[in-house]
Amino acid sequence: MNAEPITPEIEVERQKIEKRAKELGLDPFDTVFHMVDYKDMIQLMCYTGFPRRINHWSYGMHSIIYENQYRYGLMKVYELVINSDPAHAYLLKNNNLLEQKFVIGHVYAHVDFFKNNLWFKPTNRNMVSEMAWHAERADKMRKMYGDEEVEKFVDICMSLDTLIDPYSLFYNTEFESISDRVKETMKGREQPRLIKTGNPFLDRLVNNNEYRRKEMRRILKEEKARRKFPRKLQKDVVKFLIDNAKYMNHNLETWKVDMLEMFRDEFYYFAPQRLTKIMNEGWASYWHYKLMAEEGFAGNDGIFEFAKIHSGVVPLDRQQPGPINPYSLGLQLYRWIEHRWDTGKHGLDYDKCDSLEKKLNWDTRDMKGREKIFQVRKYYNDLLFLSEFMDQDFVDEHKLWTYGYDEFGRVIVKSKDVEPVRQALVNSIYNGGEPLVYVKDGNFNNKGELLLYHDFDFTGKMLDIEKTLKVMRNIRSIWGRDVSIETKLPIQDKDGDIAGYADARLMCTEKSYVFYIFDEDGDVVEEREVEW
Amino acid sequence: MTGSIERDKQRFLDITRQKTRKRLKEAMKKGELIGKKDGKKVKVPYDYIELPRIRYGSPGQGGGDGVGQGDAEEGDVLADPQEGDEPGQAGNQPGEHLYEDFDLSEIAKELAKELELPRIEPKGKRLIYSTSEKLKTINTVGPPGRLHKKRTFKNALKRNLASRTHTGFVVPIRADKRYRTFKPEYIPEMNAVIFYMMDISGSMGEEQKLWSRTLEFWIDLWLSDNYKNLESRYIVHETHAWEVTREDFFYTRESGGTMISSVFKKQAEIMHNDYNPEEWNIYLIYCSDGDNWNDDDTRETFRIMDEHILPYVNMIGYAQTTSRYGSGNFLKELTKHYNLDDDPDSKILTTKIESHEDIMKAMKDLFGKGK
Repeated sequence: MNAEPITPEIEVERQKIEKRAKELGLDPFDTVFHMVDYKDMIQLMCYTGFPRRINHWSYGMHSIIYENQYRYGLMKVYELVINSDPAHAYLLKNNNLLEQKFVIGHVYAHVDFFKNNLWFKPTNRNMVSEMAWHAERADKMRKMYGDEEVEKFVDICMSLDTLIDPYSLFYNTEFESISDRVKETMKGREQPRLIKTGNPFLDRLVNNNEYRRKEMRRILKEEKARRKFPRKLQKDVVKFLIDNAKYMNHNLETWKVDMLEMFRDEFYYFAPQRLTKIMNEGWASYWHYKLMAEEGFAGNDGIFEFAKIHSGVVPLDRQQPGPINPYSLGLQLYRWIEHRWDTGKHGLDYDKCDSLEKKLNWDTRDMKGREKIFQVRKYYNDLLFLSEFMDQDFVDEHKLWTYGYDEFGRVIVKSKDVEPVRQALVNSIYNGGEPLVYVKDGNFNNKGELLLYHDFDFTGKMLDIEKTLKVMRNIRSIWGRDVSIETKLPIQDKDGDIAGYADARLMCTEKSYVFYIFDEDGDVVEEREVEW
Repeated sequence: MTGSIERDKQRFLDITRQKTRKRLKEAMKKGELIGKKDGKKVKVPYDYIELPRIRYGSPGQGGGDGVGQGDAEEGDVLADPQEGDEPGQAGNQPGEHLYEDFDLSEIAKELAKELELPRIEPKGKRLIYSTSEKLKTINTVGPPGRLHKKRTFKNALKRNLASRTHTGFVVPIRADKRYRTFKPEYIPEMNAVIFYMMDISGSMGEEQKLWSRTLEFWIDLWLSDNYKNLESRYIVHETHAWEVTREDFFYTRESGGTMISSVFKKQAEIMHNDYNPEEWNIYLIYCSDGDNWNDDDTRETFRIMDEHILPYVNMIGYAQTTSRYGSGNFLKELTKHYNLDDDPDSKILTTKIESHEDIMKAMKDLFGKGK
């Protein structure tokens, strides 16, 4: 890659922007800017900004896609910034000075967000070298165990990236492994707790046979409950595999476990970015607009061009009805918060007020908007951001609505109320918009099989069965024994429409998939076997 | 870093190319390729590969709602079911219209996997010198890079032990050194000529001509890719036959009556003038709807074939096309005359083309046996 330092002309502007941004309250890491041409930019995009990552053909595929999009003018790249300390940002060489200025402002806001947002606190700030180190190790593995073997396993690892627990960044999750369980079992069975009397005669009376039987029943019951492994549902499926697969599958080589751990590190590094996408982009857009338009960095002659770029990045009000742009949603919500806290349109008094006119003209001149959005930037993630600050006024003002399929298969506008809109948005961002899948049982059927559990009722959305089965096949190759997943499948009525959902269990065995469908009492009503 | 992404790109192309290969056959069916020269590129669309992940299905299969923005009222229809695309999906997917350029010869190679090459016999006097691609033999001289260490060491050890001054140190001297080297090979030159012959009379419809040309085009492409020393001659006929160039052969439009004997007469004439059967492998591919002028001409054809053609050639391939008006009876006569049903070793191979899909089958019929 031919990364060059930025030109003196841009450097002058950069210093001005950095100074002004810091005066306005931003607190970014030191940021190193590089200039690259579009080819290098595409490479960086494929590796999500990192100079090196574990080699995989899917990055190559993306580079071909991006190259084609770029060639046909479907894609415009402005910047790339990596969450690290110091942060690295890449600018495109052939963008003009105005575009570069706008990008620099944008980048400083991103870096400020990386540094200060709570959800980014646990991330590894030295990921650039960590990733390169991973790549190096993977190359070594390729040499030792063969290209094909390693590539096959990388394919498997990459298909597991939705199976982590992004919200676990903050509580110290201690995972129990099978070896702990074995140690516990070695201790032997718990003795009945006898009541101390100090008197042999009384002892025989108090600790009589009936009491001992009762104690024994309690012990056996507790033991049975403890026998469940894991004791609670475990969201971090990858960690579960890392900890326990080696005990179940004796053919699992150590390097595979190492590889899984490397990938888990990478998944967790990217997890906060998935949790704060709307906030992060909104924050950056808020600040590049503030710096360029309100602080005058665009200049008098550049303001129109800037407006054009800005509306390309965050189209505010759509002419045509269509799906929402999450980035502009973030920007709009920040402005909404700022407006509400500037004018004091919040709190008990405002909520209690009945008069519409009074509400409209509500202005206490608090001017606490800036302070509030800085607070929001620090402590919130997308989920809290949307659920707390989105209200009916916001939905009305920005013309938001939900859409979905009606009974004729048409896509229609369903509702303009805040609650469904918020619910739909939360569904699409909770857990990064991915299904909730847990490990339910590591000793399923008492045969050491793995049972996963998909929380269907949380969103009511169905899994993509075909892909799920393929992933289960991948997990099976790690676990070494059959893997099942509990979810729900649609029941079709006579017309072929979906009448409801039934509990189902999909099992992946050595050569086939088995579908079990249950009725309400938990009995199997249908069993189907499909070859791989 | 550049190397890193290039490596990934190359790997992806390798993977996708294997998948795309399967599609080449579809490309073969396209008539528009016909007449293109070897070395031209063919565009074949290819797929992106998606890694499987546990994800939600599309909203159509019982998914949740999406959120939109803009001037709309409750109940507004955004998309009809026929349109298919749900608005949330638009713009996310990369354009599907990416094409991979394939050499025509690559398609030909794909064909070769299913067909057997004709057994071209070594005829002719010249021998071509060629070297094998692998280092097969050992020589006493050579570049240091090709030193055969094991052999060298063995020789040194032998010499050392024999000299009785063996001290435990074995140092090879020049005489011990052995090198891997290419083995020279002399392979006989294989001469082959193929006569492509086609009926372009009025009874052959446009479609039938297209089938015939497609068939002969692929045979031409495939064989010329496999044999460097291959000549092709093109003959067309109606009531009389004449030789044409390759371009003309694939594009000529003519009409008129049909006299099959004429084309074989012409072929025999060219063959005996230009190619000595002692030195050349001779192949005939003939396409027609089999609707001959009269029976006398059919008998005349058989006479010519018996006397002037059959003893000298390796194979005669005959593909009969079927039109809406049915098919001629030349195939039936041919089968009867040479008793083809009971004679699997016959030099005459026949096939029928009833639709575009049969072209591949026809090639298998003609070349699947490796005659």
